[in-house]
Amino acid sequence: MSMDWLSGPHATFILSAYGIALVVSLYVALAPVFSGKRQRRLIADMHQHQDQQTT
Amino acid sequence: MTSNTSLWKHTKTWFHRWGSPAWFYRTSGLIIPWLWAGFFLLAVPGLFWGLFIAPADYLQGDSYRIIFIHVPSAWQSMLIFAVMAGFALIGMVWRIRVAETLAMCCAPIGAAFTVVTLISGSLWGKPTWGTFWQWDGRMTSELVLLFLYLGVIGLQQAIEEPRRAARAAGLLALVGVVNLPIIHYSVEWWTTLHQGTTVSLLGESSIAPSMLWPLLLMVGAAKFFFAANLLSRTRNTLLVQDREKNWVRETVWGVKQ
Repeated sequence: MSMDWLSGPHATFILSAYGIALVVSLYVALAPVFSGKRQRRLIADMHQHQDQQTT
Repeated sequence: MTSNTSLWKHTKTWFHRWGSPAWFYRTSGLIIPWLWAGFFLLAVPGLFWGLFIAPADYLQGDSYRIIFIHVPSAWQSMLIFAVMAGFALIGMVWRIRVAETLAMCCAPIGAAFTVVTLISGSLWGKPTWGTFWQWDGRMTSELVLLFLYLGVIGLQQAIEEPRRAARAAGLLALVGVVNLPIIHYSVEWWTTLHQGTTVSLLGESSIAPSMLWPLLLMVGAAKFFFAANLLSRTRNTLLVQDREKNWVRETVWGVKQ
């Protein structure tokens, strides 16, 4: 196992590239999870409101 | 003959089922955890192998390690555009709403992969070429791909009625496909700073197996990431579009009304 590159001259470039990729992929992966939960809650509220109006 | 006809019928029925938003929502919900499992199974060893086991390149040193995110992102950014155009075409020809929704949900994921490709390429370019950016064929055509993705997203957002928006943006996606061969062949058509093809699916690759395997693991991981993400986004969009329908009521409340 070689970790020498972490102290090498290109470490900043490699870590920056991986860091940015991590941030972008986390955002892309988590956005639908949170928006899905929010939308389900909003839809549930809407249905509840409709049901209350009809009864 | 009869068994063949029966198999064809079953396959056709199976494909048609995907056109039902309710069926799509339920089935994709079962598939998504497996796709994420596939992603982690490939990405974890791929990253570890690429960052800590693969040897340094004889010419570029360690900076080449950016390849393990740059190349999978670049391939994925092009593949997603082709998939988006494919779904847009299906949506236009057969008027299948799920296909239109899938096409529109491809765009933000494809744009994200393109952004990662451009930034990681730029960060790889500085230690290798001495510059972050050069207006050469490969880089410029990849930047055009990002603008096409943004155009599809913008057009879709600009039209209020979702189906009209999907058709208009889908048309742009179909036209934009012309950029894909330009990106692919740019390194052959023009003298570019960007290196030529290193990994070939049909011919022999000019990359050492100790670097190729982690790269292929990461390429596979990117496919799983895209598939899981696309299904999640499409499920959300269908839920909002059909919020007044019974299947959504049943899904949200977990009971038949």
